[in-house]
Amino acid sequence: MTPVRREILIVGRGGQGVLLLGRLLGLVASRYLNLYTSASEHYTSETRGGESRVDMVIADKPEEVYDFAGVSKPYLMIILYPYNIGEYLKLAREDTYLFIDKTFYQGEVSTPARVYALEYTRLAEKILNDTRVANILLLGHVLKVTGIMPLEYVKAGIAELLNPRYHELNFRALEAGFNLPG
Amino acid sequence: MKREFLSGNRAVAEAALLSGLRFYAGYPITPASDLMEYLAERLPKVGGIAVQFEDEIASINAAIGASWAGAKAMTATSGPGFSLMAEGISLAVATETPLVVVDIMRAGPSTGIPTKTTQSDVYQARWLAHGDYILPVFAPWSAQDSYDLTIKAFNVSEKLRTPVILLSDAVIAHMWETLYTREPGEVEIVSRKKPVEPPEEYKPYKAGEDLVPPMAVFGEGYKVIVESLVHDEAGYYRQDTRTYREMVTRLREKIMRNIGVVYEHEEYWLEDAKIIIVSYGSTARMAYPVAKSLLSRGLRVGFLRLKTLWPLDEGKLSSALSKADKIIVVENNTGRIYYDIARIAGRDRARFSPILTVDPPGFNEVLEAVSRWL
Repeated sequence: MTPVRREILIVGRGGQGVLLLGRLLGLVASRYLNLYTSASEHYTSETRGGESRVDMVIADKPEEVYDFAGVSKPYLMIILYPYNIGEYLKLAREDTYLFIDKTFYQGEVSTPARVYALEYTRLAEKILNDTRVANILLLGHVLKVTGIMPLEYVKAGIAELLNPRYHELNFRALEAGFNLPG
Repeated sequence: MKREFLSGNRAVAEAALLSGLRFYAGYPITPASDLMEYLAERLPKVGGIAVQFEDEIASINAAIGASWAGAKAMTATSGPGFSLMAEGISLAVATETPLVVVDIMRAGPSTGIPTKTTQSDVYQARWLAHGDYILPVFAPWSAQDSYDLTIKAFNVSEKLRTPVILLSDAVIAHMWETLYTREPGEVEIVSRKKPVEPPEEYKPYKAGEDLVPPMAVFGEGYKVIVESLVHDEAGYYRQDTRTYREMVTRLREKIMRNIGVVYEHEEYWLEDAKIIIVSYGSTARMAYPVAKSLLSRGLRVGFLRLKTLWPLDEGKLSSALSKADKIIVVENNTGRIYYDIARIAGRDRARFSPILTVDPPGFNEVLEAVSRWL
């Protein structure tokens, strides 16, 4: 990853693995890319279903993350579920990579951003027979399109974060996403 | 050293483990619950115990008991639970019990807003309990600082036999960040001084030159008295002025004599600064870039971040602030540290920019608050 300051917004529904994506990206950036990360997590009191969000910044110097109070100029936006999508889309700019799970949103995406809208959850069900890894499948696609992090580092991050019995499934999901057209 | 990605609360927990924590007692309360949850998994793996007690009163007293049994002990809570710990903190002060108490500030008064923060517990951290005493209070502004100041909190509590407050807040506690953690041996870990004399000669509250009595714990053959009443060197209750004066003076002096160890602040661009912005904790996260931005616009602005909120090294602070015409204190409350700065630097130079918000303040919000004094 080029050493610059990059803001990442991940939005979804409780249970889709929004916070997991944030922790995975933060871990890989911190440990494997030697970058500095600051992230805040937002979620509701429901175990499943409420809006979950991660605001994150990744930079090459620690002082570059001190002033982070939330995403305002996103480099990457991941919308797993369209909560407040109208508001979040307002943040997107021409150089924003925007990934949307079309399984839950068929509406129009009016934005200057570079949009990648696929039915990630349906794909996860079709390819892996498990919708729980839709987040990781989408992340694989993000890696392919943006090159933000090497695939192998993310695999190492998955191996660190998750219970070993889920490693294989998540590796396959990541690769399935990475093999989607860029 | 290892690079990690941890929340502020997990950073506190990991630092506590490295410092030798072996007993955690607590009662769940937002935004401190996840600290206990994390330790409930981690502590047993290193031979320690994490216990959920029936309330915060039981928790702090259990932690005091564990410390007297020889374990490094900690409890964590937030405003409402911290209030319940008042009597326990006073007990820990009087009995000179090494103990770390973490207060993750949330909006108050009373139950306030559990998931949101302010910085309104600064005086509570200093003076929560009754009686004449002084105890160290540290305030982190990042996950890294949460880690480093927790190690310092344990070291100071053990070195000076005192309860120490780590005053974090809901923003810092739940912010996930890159930090460097240490391996055993990479950082100094202090443990309490034990008696060297034979048990029959030991007096549990007799201090030497450093004013800190060696601490025998239960089960080591020494006579141990955990005395909350005013006591003499032997730990016996006395009602006379001389004993009271000696005890209270020593409790204060053992901290103040080590002010160089206890007190810390960070200075940025102070050399030529005519305006110095002073802040701490989560608010400092935005006051820092505001100061940096003003500096880049050609204003002679410096930034000072307090890491220790009590006791303050007034000489060191006064010297750091001496060249500035204006000192602007930015904090998320109606005035706490501002009054210290006004006292130390003079009311004619001190300015107050309160940020009263339950969400992390944005850049423009802090800039606007500071700009009125520029």
